[in-house]
Parts: sequence; C-alpha cells; structure tokens
Amino acid sequence: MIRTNNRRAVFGLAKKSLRASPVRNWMIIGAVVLTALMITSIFTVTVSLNQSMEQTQMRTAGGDYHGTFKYLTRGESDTLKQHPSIKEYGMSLVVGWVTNEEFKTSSIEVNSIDDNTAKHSFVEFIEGGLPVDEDGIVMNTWALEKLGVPLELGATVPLEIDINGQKISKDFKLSGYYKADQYLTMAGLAFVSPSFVDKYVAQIDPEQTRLSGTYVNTISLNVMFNNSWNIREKLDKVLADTGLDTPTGVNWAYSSVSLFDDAVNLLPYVALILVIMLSGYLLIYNIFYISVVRDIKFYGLLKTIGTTPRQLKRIIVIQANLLFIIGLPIGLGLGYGLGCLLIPMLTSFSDLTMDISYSVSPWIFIGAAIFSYITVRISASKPGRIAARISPVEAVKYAGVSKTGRRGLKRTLHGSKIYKMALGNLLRNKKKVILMLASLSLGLILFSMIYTLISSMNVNKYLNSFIAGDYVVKDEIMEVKTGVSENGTYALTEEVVQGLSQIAGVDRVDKVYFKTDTLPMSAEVRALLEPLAKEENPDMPMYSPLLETGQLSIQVYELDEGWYDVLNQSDIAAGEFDREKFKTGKYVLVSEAILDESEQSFYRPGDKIEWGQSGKSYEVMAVVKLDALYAAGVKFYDIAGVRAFLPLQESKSSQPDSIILNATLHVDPNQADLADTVIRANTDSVPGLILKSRDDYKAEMQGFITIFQTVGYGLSFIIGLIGLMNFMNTMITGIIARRHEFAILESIGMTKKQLRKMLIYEGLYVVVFTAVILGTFGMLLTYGLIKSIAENIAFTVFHMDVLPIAASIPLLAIISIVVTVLAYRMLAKDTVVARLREVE
Amino acid sequence: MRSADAGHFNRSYIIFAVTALSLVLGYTGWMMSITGQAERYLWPSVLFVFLFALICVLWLGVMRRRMANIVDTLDQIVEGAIRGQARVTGYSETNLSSLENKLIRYIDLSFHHERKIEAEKNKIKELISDISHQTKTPLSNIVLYSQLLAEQSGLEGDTQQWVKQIRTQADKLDWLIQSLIKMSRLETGIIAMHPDSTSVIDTITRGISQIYRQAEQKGISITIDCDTAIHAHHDPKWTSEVLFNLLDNAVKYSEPGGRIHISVAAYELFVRIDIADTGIGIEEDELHSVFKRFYRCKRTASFEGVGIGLYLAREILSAQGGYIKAASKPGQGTTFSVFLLADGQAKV
Amino acid sequence: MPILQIDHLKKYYGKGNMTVKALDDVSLTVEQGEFVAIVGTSGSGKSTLLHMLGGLDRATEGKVIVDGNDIFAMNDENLTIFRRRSVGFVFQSYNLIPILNVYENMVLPIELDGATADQEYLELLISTLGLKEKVHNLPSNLSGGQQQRVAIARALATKPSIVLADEPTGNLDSKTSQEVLILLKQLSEKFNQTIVMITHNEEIAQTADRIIRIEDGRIVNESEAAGVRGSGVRS
Repeated sequence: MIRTNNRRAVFGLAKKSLRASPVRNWMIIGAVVLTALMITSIFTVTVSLNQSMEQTQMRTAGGDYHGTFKYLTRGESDTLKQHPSIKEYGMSLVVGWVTNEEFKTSSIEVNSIDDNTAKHSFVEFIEGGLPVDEDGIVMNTWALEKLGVPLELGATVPLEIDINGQKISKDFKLSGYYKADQYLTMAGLAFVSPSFVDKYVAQIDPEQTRLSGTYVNTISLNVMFNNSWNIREKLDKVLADTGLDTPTGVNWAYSSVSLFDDAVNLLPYVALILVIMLSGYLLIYNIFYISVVRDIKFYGLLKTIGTTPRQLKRIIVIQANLLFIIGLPIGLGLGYGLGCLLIPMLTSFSDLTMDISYSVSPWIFIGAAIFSYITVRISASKPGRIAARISPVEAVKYAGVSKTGRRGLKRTLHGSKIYKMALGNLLRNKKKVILMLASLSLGLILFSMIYTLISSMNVNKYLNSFIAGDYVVKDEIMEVKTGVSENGTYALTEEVVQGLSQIAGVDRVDKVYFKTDTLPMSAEVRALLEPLAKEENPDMPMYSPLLETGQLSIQVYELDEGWYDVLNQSDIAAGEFDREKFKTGKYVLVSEAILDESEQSFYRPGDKIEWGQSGKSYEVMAVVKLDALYAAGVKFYDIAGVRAFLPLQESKSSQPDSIILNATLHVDPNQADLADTVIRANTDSVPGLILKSRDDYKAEMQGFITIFQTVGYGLSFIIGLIGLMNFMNTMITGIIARRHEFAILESIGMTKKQLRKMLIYEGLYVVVFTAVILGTFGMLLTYGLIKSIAENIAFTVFHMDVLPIAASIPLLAIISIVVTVLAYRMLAKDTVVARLREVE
Repeated sequence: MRSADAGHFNRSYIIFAVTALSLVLGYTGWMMSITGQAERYLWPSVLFVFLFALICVLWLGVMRRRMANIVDTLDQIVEGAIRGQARVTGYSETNLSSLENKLIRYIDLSFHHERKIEAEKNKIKELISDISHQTKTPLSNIVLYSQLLAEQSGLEGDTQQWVKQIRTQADKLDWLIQSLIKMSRLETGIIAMHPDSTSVIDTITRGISQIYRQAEQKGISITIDCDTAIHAHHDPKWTSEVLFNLLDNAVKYSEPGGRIHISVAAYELFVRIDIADTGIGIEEDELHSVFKRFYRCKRTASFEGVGIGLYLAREILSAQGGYIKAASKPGQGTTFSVFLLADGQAKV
Repeated sequence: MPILQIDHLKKYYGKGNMTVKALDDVSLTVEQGEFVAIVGTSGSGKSTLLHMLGGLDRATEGKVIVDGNDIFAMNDENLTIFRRRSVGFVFQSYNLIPILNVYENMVLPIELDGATADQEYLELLISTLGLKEKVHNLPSNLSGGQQQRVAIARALATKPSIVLADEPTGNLDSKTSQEVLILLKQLSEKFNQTIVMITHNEEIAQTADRIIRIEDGRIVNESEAAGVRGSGVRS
C-alpha cells in the first residue's frame, strides 16, 4: 500500500523541536564534530599511509607500468604494441654501460627511452628534457655530482660507454637532468638520443646480444592495460595472441602487500575507530536520552493527538540527521587537517622510509561520514524507541500537580536526613546512574591506562640499546658500510682510543673488538637448515650456499667489563651469566640465530664452541637473545649466523684480525662540559670517526615520546572529556527535570539551602561511586593490562602512578559542586509559585 | 478511456524496458572491454542480463497485481462505507486508510444532513396542522357572530352593509386558510392521493355540481361532451376539486351569458379534459406564470382571489401523475387542458 | 448503531490487597451525535474512563468499541492512528504543543495523517473561536481561555467522530466556561460529532443531553439532562 505522505509534518515537528533546545543541539553538534573529526583523521592517516607505501613501492619498482615485455627486437615490439588490450606503452632500448672510473662500484646503464617511459618511470626533469641530438644525454643529479659536472644544460659530460664490448669515449652535452631518487638503487640510468642509437647501436643484432647476455639493442616494452587485475594473465594473452615468446615482468608494486591486504595491519585502526564510535555513542546517546526524558510530556502529547510511535521515532532520527549534517562537514574538515598533521609524526617513527603523500581520496570522507553516521544513528535509535514507547496517559498525568506532589511529600517524610534523600533520589533512576558512572569511569580508566603506559616509558632503557655510556665513538666504515674493509684505512685505532681515554674527565673507556669468522656446521644445524633450503626461492638462495660450504658465519665480539652491566636478565635465553667466571676468558656467550622468521639456538649452555683456525675452544656459558647487547654490536645479522661474546682481557684482543668496533666513553658528570669539547675536538681531528653522545640519542627518542604523549594524552583527554560532559549533562538535566518537584519541596518548607545541599550530596555520591569503581576495578584493569603491555615493549619499565587518578577525584568533586550550585542558582531565580505553575 | 490508459502504460513499459536493457548491455559491454573480451566474463554477463530482465518482469507483475488490489480495495471501501459496514483498512498509516476514513465521515455527515432535513419537514407539517386547527374555531365564531349580528333587526343601511362585508371576508379567509393547508399538505406530501380507475364523467359531474348554482346565477351555460365509458386513473375527490377550481375561474372571469364547454378525449396514454370558456382570457406572456403560487394576472386584479387555485390544481394533478396546461386568446376565452393517466398507464 | 459501546470495562491498578479499582465493571452506550457528561468527584475514575475511550490507556478487562472497532484489539500504532483520525481531545490543561503556533497546533493531526487541511473549515473554526488575531502566536502567549479555544479548534480540526473533553472548562472562569462550552456544542452539532465530557461542575453538566454519574469506578445514576438534542436524533 502507499503510505500516507506525512513526512512534511514530521519533518516540521522535528525542526521545530530542534529550534526549541539550542543548547542541546550545540552539544550534539559538538559531539558529532568530535566523532567525525577523530574518525576522519584516522581514515586520513590510514589511507595516506597506504598511498605513501604504494608510491614508495612503485618508485622502488622503477615505474608504475603494469608489466614489461623484455629483450625484444624492434619488429617484435612493433607487433606487440599493436595489440588491442594494450592501452599505453613506453619503450626503452638498451645501449650499454658507463665505464667511467667514478662508477666502478655502482654501474650506470645507458638507455634510450621515449617520453612515455620517462613519464611512467618517475624521471621528473628539473631542467631540460630527453635528448634529441646525437651527443645529448640525460643523467640524474647524483651521477652528475659524482662526475663533477655542473648542473646546467649544455654542460659537457665526458663518458666512456661499453656498447656490446666496444668502448666508446665521447663528450656528451647535458640535455636534461632529474632528481636522483633516494629510494631507487644507486645504479642510475643515463639516457641517450635515438640518433645516438642509430649511429652506434642500430647495427648490432639484438638476437645475438640476447644470447650473449648484454641485451644491447633490445627493447623493453612497458605497457599499461585497462586495469591492474590479472596482469600476468593479460601479458600471457598478448604473447599468445601475437605468437611471440619473450620474458615478461609484472610490476610487483601492484601485487605487493599494502596496508589493506592484511587484516592484522588494520586491527589497531579498527579498534581505535570502535573506541571513538563507542565514546561518541555514549556522548550523543546520553544527550538524546536526557532530552527525551526531559521532553517526555511533549512526546506524550504528540502521541495523544495522533503521532504514531513510528513518527515519534522519525522525529528523533530527523533531529539527529539534521544535527549530523551540520556537524559532519566541520568534523570532516578538521579531521582531515588533523590527519595531515599526524601523518609526518607517525611516519617519523615508522621503520619504512617513504615519501609522505597526502591522499585526497573521496573514500576517506565517505568512510568517515558513514562511520560517523552509524554512530549518530545508533545513538539516536534508543532514545527514539523510548519516545515511541511513552504512554500518552503518563504524559497527560504529568500535568497533574497533586500526584507528583504527593510522591515528593512521602519521600520527605520517609527520610528526613538530607543525605539519605539524596541517595534515594539518585537511585530512583538506576539506569541513568549506571550509564553515567560507566561513561565517567570508562574515561578515567582509559586515562589511567594511557597515563600509566606513558609514564612507564623509560628513556634510559631505550637508550641502553644504543649507547651504554655517555659517548660512543665508531668508525664510519662500520657504520655506513656493511662489511670490514682493509685495516689500513680504518680510523678507530688503538692509538685513537688511547688518546680518548686520557682526556680529562673521561672516567673509563669500554672497547668492543669485532671480527667475523666462520663456524663449521654441525650435523644438528645442517638438519635444521636443510628443510629451509628446500623451500627457498631458487632465484634468491639463502641456505643452500651455506649448506654447500658447510660453514656458518660468526660475529665475534670482545667486550670490556663495562658492558657486563648492560646485559639484562631478560636478554638471556638459557643459562646463567656469571661475571667472575666469564672474566676468566674460558667462557663465551652465544646468541641465537635467525632462521627465516624465527630465532633458534644452535647451542646449549655447557656446549663447546670453536671457530676459525684458532683452534681454541670455549665453553658456552649462556645463550643470549639475538638483540642482546645490541648497542655493542654491528647493525647487521648474517643468515643463520651467530654472535659470540668474549671478555676483553687486559684491553688486548685475543683474536687475530680484530678491529675496534666502538669505544664507549664514560664521563665524570662534574667535568662533562669540558670533556665534551675535548672529545669532540679529538674525534673531529681524525677523519672517518663518528661520535655520538647520549644526548644525541635522547633527542632522537624525545621526538618519539612527544608523539606518543600527544596522541595518548589527546585520546585520554577526549575520552575523559566525554565522561565529564556526560556527568555534567546528567547533573544539569537531572536538576532541571525535577524543578517542579523541588518547588513542591520548597513549598512544604524545605529551605533553599537544604535543597542545594541535597543536590550537592547527589553529585558527590556519583563521585564517590566513581572513585570506588576506579579504585577497585580501574586500578586492577590498569595494573593487569598495562603491565602485560609494558613488558612486551622494549623501552618500558612498568611503573604505576596512582596520583593523577587520585587527583581526578577531588577535581570531579569540585566540578560536581560547581555545576550543581550553578544549575540550582539558575533554577532558583524564579519564585516557587512560578515554578509550580511552569510545569502545567 | 480504459484502452487509452492501457496504451499509455504500454508505452512507459517500453521506455523503461529499453532504458534498463541498454543500461545492462552498456555495462556488460564496458566490463567486457575492460576485462579484454575474455570469454569467461561473457556467460556471467549473459546470465546477469537474463536475471535482470527476469526480475524486471516479475516486478512489473507484482506492481500490476498491486494496482489491481488497490482498485479492488477501493471498491470494497466505497461499498462498505455506503452500507455502513466495518472498516476495510482499519486504522493504518496508508493513503487508502486515510481515504476510507474521510469517505466514511463524508457519508456519515450526508446521512446526518438528510435526517436533519427530514426533521425540519416534520416540523412544518406540525405547524400547518396547528394553524388549521387553531384558526378553525375563531373563524367559525366570527362567521357565527356576524350572522347573529346580521339577523339583528334595526340595523342602519351602512351597518348592514359592513356586517355583510365581515361575513364575506371571513368566508374568504376561511377559504384561504383551507387552500393554504391543502397546498402545504400537498407540497410536503402529507396528502395521500388514492388514484384508482374511476369514471371520468362522474368526477366532472362532481365538480360541476359545486359550481352549477353560481353559473346559473350568472347566466352561464355549461355543456359537456363526454363518453360515459371513459375511465382514467385518478383520485375522484381531488380531481373534482381541480375541476371545480377551473370551473370556478371560468365562471368568475366570464361575462354573464358566456359559455363553458367541457370535452373529454381518451388518448393512448392520457385522458384529456378540456375546459373552454368565453372569458377575458390570459395574455400570452402570462400563460406560463398562471400556475405559480400567489400569481395573479394583471387584468384580474379587480376580481377576488388569492392566486392559489391553479397552483393547487397543478400540484394535485402532478401528485397523481397527470398534468395541466392552458391555452388562451385574450378577450376570446381560455382553454385549460387536464391530462389524467389513462387506465393502462398507471401500472407502469 | 451506537458510536461508542463500553462493555464491562475494568481497570485495576496494583495487585493483591493493594488493588485499586479505578473502573469497576462499567458498561455504557453512546449514540452518534449525543452529548454526554460524565460527572463525578475527583478520583472517581471518570478520567480513567475517558482515557480508555480515547485509547490512551488499556483496560484490565472489558471492551471499548468505537464505531464498530474494538480499540484494545489494535496495536499501539493503529490505536494512535485511530486517535488521530476519529478522536479529538480537549484537556483541562490544554496540552498544546508549546513549540508550535496556534495554526500549526490545529493542523498537526491533519498533517500527521498526510492530508491537506480544509482551509475553509479551518477559517470557520478560527473565526468562530475568535482566534483570528492569534493564529501565529505561540501557546505561551495566550490566555487560558484562548488556549482552551485553540485546544478545541485542534480537537475539531480533523472533523473527528468523537470529541473527548476532560474538564474542558476546569481552568476557566465561569463566563469563559460558558462561552467555550457553547462553542464546543455548536461546532460539534454542525458536524454530527459525539461529545463525551468530564466535569465535576453540575452547572456545566446541564448543557449535556445526558449525565452519567460515576462514583468509585461505577456508574451510579444516569439521567437525561435538559438538553435540546432529543429523541429526534437518536434513531
């Protein structure tokens, strides 16, 4: 059947009743803005991070093409690019390699590309463009700097190029240059003109170079399809259709892991959104609930004259919708802004290096709007049901003075003590009180948990994994490069360390000696590695070379005594660390080894271990975790390799070919300033030394803590604020709703003072109940939950601070009293008679 | 009307069908081009188109059924409302229910008004009977006392004349009231006619008998031309009253020595009685007005009368299914034709 | 057919010994177009009876049949719609919607039904009730008598078949009371509306066709009042 068209009437009613309570509206709009703001910012952050990741991956992959047909002859590429499913294509022709002395370590490939390839390969010209003249060339800034060529068009670029084994030396003219991409491998590219190709390369037979493996004069055809689904299949189909058979490549950036692929990655965001929705719900629901209860007579009246339950519900929902519409854009805008502010903060402590890109995807706003709307809608639904269920008689009866009056009178006679009355009043609406207590306690408990977690963060514990003393001196080679170079250029020598230790104010210098060696593989280890070798990617063998040689790599460290203190009990996986026994030099600490994702120990305490050709064997005192003594070691691990820690005896290394990996300086705090200058002067004078102070690390750490605190305190502040607003809202509306009852009480002889006292008691009861909940349940939850979290985070030491929570209780009490007094004063302005009449 | 509607519907069906189909086909084609015309996408698309079309057809069927239902319900609603039966749609949030409510209220009110009018009629009836009843005694008293006064000897010439006038006026008033009562009774349908198959000549004779003396006094001759076998379906009492009224007029407006001719003719449907006189006649433009209540011709202003006789005549005749008409030439005389239902006609 | 039929209506509050019998087996029939006054002291159950008639409350036992419909058999939704279409309420406390102006208050029940208001009729109501100047005022800006007239206008605006009035003159002075009552009667007569009015004022009750006395939840005495709407209508 066609429903009657009463939308206009219902809408009009909703609008009118909106207009009737502006204060409530602002509160709800505020709540909507808050909810939308937080949800939007989370969406902005997630979507933007995901986009940044994708962008970074594409850059790493070298382009945003869907796929590539490799090593084609000109004819083949002409055939392929005719295929109808290929929407766009770009060609890149292999010319040769730059063989200049400067690029011995990192080779530069010379190609000839078209505009399309340049565009899709992130070749973004700072100046100029692709070469046209035979001697034109395009290179990136990094390569040009290495060559010492000035960054200006037309500059001469002398290059030696190996074209299929034939060397050509030529002075090119720079026709364009682009920014070196930090995410691309340093193996750069140089682009020459088609006319250069015609002159030097065209005659070379691509079929031949394909066989010889230089691939000179072969073409890579980079293609774009309609979309990025099933790229592999599409490539194969093109090959099948054209009857060609060449190697193809799929751009892995399109298939790689994004933030959205793994549900686990999204879990914290989902949880955060749920928490926000919950708090938004509590806030909006509460305001609506109270406003419905306050306007119960209004809704009852509407029902009496023929507003159906469904229409009543609609009235509430329409109000919610209108307020939502007002609040949403503000929330979305502010939320997007906040999200954009948060992104750099979040990326700064993420382990991924990436370009920050700010997504303006409409999905951010659509998603945030939907989730905010769900919150608002759910919040309004229950109050709507309450309004719908109102008995019209109830509403009509409300007008009767005698009945409520009598009820109030009875109570007065019953409990003449004011505090008893207050308790009675409070417990009259248990549901409301429970809701208020829940929202208030939830906010405070969350605050307590976040506060505890933040205060549990321990900078020293964090710093210890980077620096054990006040300064650490390292060699550039070991810090930047991963590997030991010839000892001759190594800057951190015995003499340097000696010099440092003699500086006034330096109490002690702890040295770490380091060498890498090999370890024969035991049968047990072999048994562990063999199954792994079978599963490995044949293109990237990891375990099979180890199995072939039968050797594992071992990093051998010798530590000064000062390091013993850095070793925590939690670092030890098996065995017991005994300082005195260790000092004897007969014992060794062995670390676990990385095998795929897991860590496994090859040794047990008591085992004997022997490496290299030294012929000396040590007894394993304890097995330590992989990241134990992290500050002492290098920043890389070998596959299936272990670390061995030996004591340094009489400051002399017992191992041949050891180098000083680092020297940690402990400074007398009294002479710190002086020592600082001298140490810096000392290390600056030796090229290749790196000096890092504890303060440097601290500064790095501080940024992270600031972010954590901002987010954490912000969140707990908002949640606490919501609870507090709920509390205030309930208090105020409770007083307003009962104004008639108060007038009766006053008319039968209760003084204003007594009334105020009663109301203050009511507020204080709530505070007391909240305190009880916090003191028992809240503390328990904080202790249990945060302790387990803190133990799982490396740089936290569980530390419980009850003070801020305890302090919040008197604060609450003060707010409660102030709010009560203000609300009552507002009320008491009218005379008793006026108030008695008002309700009728 | 119906077929035009159907045609219109068909046209809109076609428009919708074409739009939906082109939408689906366009979408499918687009998807095909995106997915590179792979055959494995073809069959799902075909299936999709088929299912879509199926759903459209089903939906149309449902809509049609719905519309038919609505019309059915409407029919029931109207029927139920007229007969005062229970509500079909009850109290629900639908247009139909709202409509039904309005309809029921409307019909309620109509009934209410009808009853109200009836009640008013009854009131007039009572009033009229009251008037006739209450005026009878005072009037007859006036007549009685004026007679007593007239019999009193020794009245002066003028006084004698006045007493006579009182007597005449009282008679006239009596007649007027009687006429009014009759008239109103006729109008409100209080007077019940009892038409029956009766001899027409009897009724005419009955009418003439009341006027004969007056005619004789005035020297007016009355002739009748009537087949005694003619019967008509009429109430003899009231019809003779009509004839009396007509004859009374004829006598009144004729010069002494005039003639009145009554002729009767039996037609297939009606029996016609013509009463022709040689009186002053009626002006042509007044002919249609003479049957109006209280209408008096300009030229008859000098005669006595209240202008109610012809009106009553017409009312009585139409109450028993007959009618009356008049034809006249001023100065030459008037012919009134009374039509009574023929015998066989009454049953129809 | 009677418009209102109350059949052994009972309404009890509470349980066991504490049971309060607000209505104890009340049966009553009201014909269409009748004007019935229910008289009783406060707490006699007359308001409860009125609430039952309008479907504002449900009975413990018994039936109320309005215009052939058993109203307690309806669900909340339908009952509300029934009220909207067929019942006009006039309360002692007026019960106007405070956020709507006079006109909006009047047309609300009509608009809730998705219908458009009969402007001519509304204007008649407005002018008859002397509200012409006040049409755009909010109820809070009106005197008691004016508010009561608005309430009457609202009750009559939908042309309901029944008008239920709960002490419609309770808050008015005696002169205004008389006025309001006459207006109510005249208007309802025009549209053949049945009026059931609660009052404790005998003088007011005299206006009605019939007076029903209720005491402790029972009908104690029924008498024909001196009303002019008599036998003619009841057929």
